[in-house]
Amino acid sequence: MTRDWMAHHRRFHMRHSLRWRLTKALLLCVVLAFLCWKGYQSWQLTRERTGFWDASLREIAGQILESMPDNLAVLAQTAQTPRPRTGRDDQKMSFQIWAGGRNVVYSPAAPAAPMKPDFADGYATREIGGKTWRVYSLADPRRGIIVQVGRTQDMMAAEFSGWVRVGLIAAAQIFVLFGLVAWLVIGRSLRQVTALRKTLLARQPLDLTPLPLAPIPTELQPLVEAFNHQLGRVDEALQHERRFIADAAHELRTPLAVLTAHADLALRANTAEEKDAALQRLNAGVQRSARLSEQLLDLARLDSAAAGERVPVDLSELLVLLVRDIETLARERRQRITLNAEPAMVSGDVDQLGILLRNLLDNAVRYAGEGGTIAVSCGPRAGAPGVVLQVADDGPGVPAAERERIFDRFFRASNGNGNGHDRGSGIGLSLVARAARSHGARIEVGDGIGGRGLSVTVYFPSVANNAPDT
Amino acid sequence: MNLLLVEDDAMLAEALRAGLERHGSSVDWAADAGAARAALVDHGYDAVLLDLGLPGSSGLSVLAALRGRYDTTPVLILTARDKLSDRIAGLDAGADDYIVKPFQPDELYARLRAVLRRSQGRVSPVLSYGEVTLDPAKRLVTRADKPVQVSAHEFQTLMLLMERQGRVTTREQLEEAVYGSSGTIESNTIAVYVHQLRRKLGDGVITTVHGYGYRIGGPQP
Repeated sequence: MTRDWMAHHRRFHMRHSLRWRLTKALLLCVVLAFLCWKGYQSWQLTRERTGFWDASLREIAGQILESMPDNLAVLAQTAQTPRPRTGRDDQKMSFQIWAGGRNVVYSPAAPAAPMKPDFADGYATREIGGKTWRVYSLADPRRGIIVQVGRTQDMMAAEFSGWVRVGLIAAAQIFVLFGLVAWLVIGRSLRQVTALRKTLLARQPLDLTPLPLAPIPTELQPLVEAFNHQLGRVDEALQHERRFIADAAHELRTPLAVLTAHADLALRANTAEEKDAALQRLNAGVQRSARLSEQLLDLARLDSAAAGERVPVDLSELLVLLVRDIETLARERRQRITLNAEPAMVSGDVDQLGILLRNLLDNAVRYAGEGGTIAVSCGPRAGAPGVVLQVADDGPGVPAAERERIFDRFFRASNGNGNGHDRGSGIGLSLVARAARSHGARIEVGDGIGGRGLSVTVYFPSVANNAPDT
Repeated sequence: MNLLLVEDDAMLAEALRAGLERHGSSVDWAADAGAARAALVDHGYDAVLLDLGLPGSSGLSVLAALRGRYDTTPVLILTARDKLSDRIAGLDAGADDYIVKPFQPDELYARLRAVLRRSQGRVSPVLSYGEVTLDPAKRLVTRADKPVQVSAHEFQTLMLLMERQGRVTTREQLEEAVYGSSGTIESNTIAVYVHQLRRKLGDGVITTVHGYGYRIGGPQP
């Protein structure tokens, strides 16, 4: 199993190695160039050699014909056959001398049949006894003698293969040289990358300083730049996280101190009434802490969430679920909620939309005041391209000067519930703003119901084009 | 009222049990999914309070096993998973309601009462009107023998209308059946569900009785 994996890994490694690929490509080029050159050379050589050999055949045939006695046809009747004198290559060359239709003189290796059966003057290439012969026939009609000279082409082939061998050796040397140079140059260029890797490995886990660009080959610099960009984003996320932890620690400690104080009071209470009062405050404190931790969790979730998966979501269905959740709280405050939900498709992340809706509703119920009304609606609206979500109340509202800031984290409106028991955390609406932004939605703040209170309207883009701004 | 409480945190289970028993219920406690499954074989519980984050196996598997044998005992999910997608998954798996920790005990009792009210008086045989049938046990709606996809809320709406065939059902009654709502919320969502149901089942099934509510069957206007 492990070995298989390693073998696979090595193969994978080889296939993706720059050195290996370049060496292979170079080898292929050298081989192709060699083949082309060799082909051209063979063709050229054959032409030249054929001319040269043909000339030598003709010359020898002429010499033989001249050296024959004039009365050869007569002599041929007797047993004496003169040994013809031929020039060079005589042992590699065969000849036949025909007189009166008989082969009167021939060399030892010559075939019995005429080498050129039509006895016409000139050259021919023929198959004789399984070999390729180049033959030449020359006639002397005056004396009735025909000389035929021939040579097998094995000779030529042997000469060519010699050339091929020399060519191959040269090509192999060139290839080795090329390969070596490529190997060294690449190795040298990549040494910087290896050095970079070592620097990275030696780093502290959260050291996010950018990598140096200088010694890296130009081709690899975009990669390092992209990596640095990503490092920057991680750094930003990390800073966010650190700020969050600092904020959260601060925001959580105070309510916990309140709980401790009231629990202590309850334990030390002298009368049942005192105990009840302390316990009720303790209970309220617990609820406030619970809500705060919920919001901090939402905050962490939104902060860390990459652009979540976008799916078609019907806002009205989410609203129905979440309006019900807030019902208990609204009933405690004798508030009335009106829900006017029409099918409202948006493309988004269910969980982030949930955070948006929950905090918007929670905020409205908390600030509408005792006996107030909260009007919730969603659906298409004339003049807006996508769908529109609105939560409005008839509570005290927010002074116009502060409306821009209610979405800032930890901002609390100056006229918010001032009694301190149900102080908001200043997180809820910042969560709404973040979730809206990541859905490419626009938020508008205005007057609430009947010119009182506050309304928050979220314009979602139409399903087709809501590229989120991140 | 007999309840099964499936919750792995002993401190929370203890407190809930004490609270529920004070409200006159008798509560059995199962601390993990195995014990819950065992307790739910041939049981006599009126409702199940189910935590999702159980050791070893998810509470959803308990719910799936229960609904897998067409057991329609109301299930109220109690969970620390407050992601909306988890919650939708829970409702889709057949839970009757879903309440996120931390919750106020009063809210739990109210939701539990609502869930029980909705389940009581429910007829288990298959309901039918014209070519539409609704099987409460299988949570299945068909039209001309072909299954029709309806949401949980549409199902509740249609079921109440089918149960009250021939009689007018008011919007308030429908809201009560769908949400267990106490009237704090005024909404048009029932109209939306009715609209969706008409689209899926044809126009002739649900009649609007202006000023009152809706009706299936009965005298034609």
